[in-house]
Amino acid sequence: MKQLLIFACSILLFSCQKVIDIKPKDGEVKVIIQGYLYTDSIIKVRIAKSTNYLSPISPPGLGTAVITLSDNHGNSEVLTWNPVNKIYKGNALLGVVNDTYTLKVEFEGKTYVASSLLPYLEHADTIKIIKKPKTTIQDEKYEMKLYATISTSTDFYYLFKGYADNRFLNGPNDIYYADNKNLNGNLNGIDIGYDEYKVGEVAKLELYSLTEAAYKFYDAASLQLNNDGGFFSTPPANVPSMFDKGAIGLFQCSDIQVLTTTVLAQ
Amino acid sequence: MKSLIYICFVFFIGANFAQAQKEYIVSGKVNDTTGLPLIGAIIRISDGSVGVASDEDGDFKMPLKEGDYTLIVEYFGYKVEQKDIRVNNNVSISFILEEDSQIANEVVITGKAPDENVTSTKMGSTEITVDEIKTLPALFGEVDIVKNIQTLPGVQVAGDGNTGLYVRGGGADQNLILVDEAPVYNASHLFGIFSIFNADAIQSAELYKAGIPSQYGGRLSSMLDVRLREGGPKKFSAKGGIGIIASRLTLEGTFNQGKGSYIFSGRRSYADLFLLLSSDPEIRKNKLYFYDLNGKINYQFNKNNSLYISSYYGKDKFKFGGLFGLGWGNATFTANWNHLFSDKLFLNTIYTHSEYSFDLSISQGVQAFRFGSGIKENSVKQVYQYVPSIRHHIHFGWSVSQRLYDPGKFEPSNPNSIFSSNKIPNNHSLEGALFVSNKQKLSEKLSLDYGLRLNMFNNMGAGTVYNYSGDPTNSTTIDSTVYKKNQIINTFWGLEPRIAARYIVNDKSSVKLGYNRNYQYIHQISNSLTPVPFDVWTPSNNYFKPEAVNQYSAGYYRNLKDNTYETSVEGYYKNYSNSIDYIDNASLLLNPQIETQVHIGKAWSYGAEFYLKKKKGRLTGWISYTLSWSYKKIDGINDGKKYFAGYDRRHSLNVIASYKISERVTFGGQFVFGTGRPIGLPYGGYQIDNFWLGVYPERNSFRLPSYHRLDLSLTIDQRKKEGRRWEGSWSISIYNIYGFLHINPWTVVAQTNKDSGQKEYVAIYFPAPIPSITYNFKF
Repeated sequence: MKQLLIFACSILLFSCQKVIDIKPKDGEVKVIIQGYLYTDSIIKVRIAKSTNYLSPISPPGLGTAVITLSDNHGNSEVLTWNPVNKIYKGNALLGVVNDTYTLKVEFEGKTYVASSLLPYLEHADTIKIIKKPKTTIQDEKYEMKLYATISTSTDFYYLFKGYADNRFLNGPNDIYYADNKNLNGNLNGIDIGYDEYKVGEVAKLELYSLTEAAYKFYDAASLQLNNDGGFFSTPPANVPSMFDKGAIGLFQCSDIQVLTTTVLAQ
Repeated sequence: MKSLIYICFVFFIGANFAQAQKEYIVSGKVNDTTGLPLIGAIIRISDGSVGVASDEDGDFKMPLKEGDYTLIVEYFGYKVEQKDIRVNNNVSISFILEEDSQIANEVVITGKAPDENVTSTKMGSTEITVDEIKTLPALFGEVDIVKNIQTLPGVQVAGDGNTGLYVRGGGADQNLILVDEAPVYNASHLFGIFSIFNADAIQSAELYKAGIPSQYGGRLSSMLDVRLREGGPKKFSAKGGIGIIASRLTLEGTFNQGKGSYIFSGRRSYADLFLLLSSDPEIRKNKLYFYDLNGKINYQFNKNNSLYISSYYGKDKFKFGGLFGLGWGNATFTANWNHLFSDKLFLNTIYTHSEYSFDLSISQGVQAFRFGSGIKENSVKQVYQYVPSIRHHIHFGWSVSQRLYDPGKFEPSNPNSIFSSNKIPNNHSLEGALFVSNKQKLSEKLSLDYGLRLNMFNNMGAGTVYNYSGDPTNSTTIDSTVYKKNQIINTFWGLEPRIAARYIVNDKSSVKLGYNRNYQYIHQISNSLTPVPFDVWTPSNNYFKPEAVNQYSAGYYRNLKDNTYETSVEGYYKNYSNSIDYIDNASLLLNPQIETQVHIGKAWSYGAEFYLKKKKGRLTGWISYTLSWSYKKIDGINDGKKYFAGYDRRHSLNVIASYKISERVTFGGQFVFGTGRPIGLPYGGYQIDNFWLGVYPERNSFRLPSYHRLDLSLTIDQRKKEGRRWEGSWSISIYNIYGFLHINPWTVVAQTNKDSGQKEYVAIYFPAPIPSITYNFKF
């Protein structure tokens, strides 16, 4: 609903846009940390530094850190730098649902720490691709619908990633995420946002469980990517880091479910 | 409490006892030739030292010492009348004024003495009448008194086509907007492009930036007192206008031999009516319109009793096919009974009702829902006016306001919906006030206007207060306390002193000093720069402490060339306590624990305002320039360092002019310049997954480019014909005439272009230039 309200307010506002040449004053370069740990998988971590906002290339992964992953059972391991992918990888420690993990990053004289639970994911029933007839404002579309029965007594948070024949469908400003607040539990064909399928393609949806902290990270990121400068909506700001000491970072521990189906003519 | 009032009263009155002299009351009535009372006519003695305005019934009372005087009566559009009188007893005298079209065309009288800006103790207040602005350029041809209020010194704007008021460093929710005494909680149509005030129904609007009269309270920064017109003077007349966005129609007249008058005015936009011409049924389903209705009835029961009832009702409606719909609107009602106890004591008893509501819905599919929020207020107020002598004019009284705050209800709107209901509990409050003030003339040169307002605010149950282990923004909820219906959750008291002193330097100039303290007990939950229709209000509570401001101001006022030119310089300093701001990425919608999203701290603002107004002649208008600073410093935000408020602008210049080229043709122009406002804009970037995020510096640290625009208008009256009642005029207006050369960004956003993938800074701005044409008529 929040997005809908912002959209409603922005209808008039966004009628006139123009790229302009301005140069905000430079500020402090930030350490950027991304860590992903999924069920039954090893961890992957990328360390980088922020660059100019208009930079056409992503800042490279840096291999001068010492990174340690530990769990709440006393297990720990030092991650290994992979110079090809420019990321750090775990060796043996796999993600387990409901375990808590701590990621320690020693980099350029500072130590950054984040902890996260790997939350359980309630599995969805299925996905379907439904033909949406042509209307005045949009062409005929095949869109993904999700069917699930979920509990609403406990707060759950989700991240979605959609694919068509393994082609990632999220645009550069699209993050699809949700929580179970205000839901009755019967998700009888909800629209996630993927509606560019063609007949014959294999549609895939990856569902990730999120902690509340990771959900807030994605929520703030989405606000940044789709903001109106704070005129009608909450002003964009730095995303809430899951790491301490000024590093900007995401430590996402997720349980995963993958659903697939083939798009049929309708 | 009784003793406190007694002490105040004795203080106010006492200073006069020692110098009491033999005085008499000169009373009477001012009517036009049809017998209708003229409201706001100025009755003054010839040396200008004493003057009063006629009230809603055309009655006036003027205490004078024994002696011979010449009384002069002035009223806009009427010939000046004068009579010589001898005062050696109470005197009753009546005036009948004749219409004078020549004067009406040449002189603008605002119902006040022409040198009132110099002689009165008022500071920081300016009145604009619709007559002054009707030939000025108007966006989409809709004359909008709020847009003109925005050109006054000390008032900042958020951007093109926005009706929000930011007065002397205050936020948009810190303005008490009254329509015939009833508060309005959202004064905007079309997301703020227009205000709710239909110019045909409005008489005037007066903005108080300081020294708000003690009978009013509850907002920190300003009061905008909008007065609806009264019907008449003819038995029946109509006026209206047909524009490119909306059309208007006003019917007015008198009844029962002029004892009563009525006015009804309506306006509706009609963009959606053009959609009905589409062959596509989906497009025909779209709705996009606003409308408003104003009505006012005045009735004089007898010499001592009169009543007016006034009402406003307006709505905005948007519906986009079967996708979603939203709407919002205000409704107000005022009943004001005026009673005269004696020559020296009057009473106004005022009941007001005001409500604002917002709704949003999706009616189809499994994601169908309805959302609604709003606020309702009922108030009763009694204001006594006591004029014991020419040296004192005392107001005192009481008021009570009861409010219901609906923060939001979310529910499924069809049986297949995936949603469940979620109602954020309503809040309730009861606010009371006792007030007293006195305008006291200490000598021929020195006058004071001082007063006190004692507020009591109760945050009432039913309600739930959450308790935290520490600061709600970064601690956990321990438990909650549940309060029953009508149980008091919090009680806050506030004493608001105000004083203004005026010293007459000579017959053309004066110096004034002022101080006032104000409290605000209701808070708009809004984290955007400009208020949006779904912003909700919340009462002061355990976490939202009452906001308060102290304002100190000083000014020099000088009129030139027989009050043709009005000039002033005012300086102010304001400091706010319990100022509210929101954490980064605050989540406010349907959040029952809003306190987890806010920090409380201090704010301050200061500045200087320069004003030059030309009131007579072919060329009229004003120039205003404001130099100002607005800061906030709030622990938990911006690392506790001070930062600019989002509406801070260093320089603000407005040049408004109306030039009467001939009897039938008037040229209008408006030039606006302002320093860009501060926003947050990322300097750095980084990639997470496949998306590019920004590194933001300190809050509001990037300054938008300067804002400027020029608007022009031409008003051509149709030739008048003998015996023809119909009068028409064409208004042609161009808003932001060179907008194609210079854009005025509302804001700048950093984004990744979804097509090219490039990162860019994008200015978002209002389209320009915007031409418009309107036909106005009356008969």
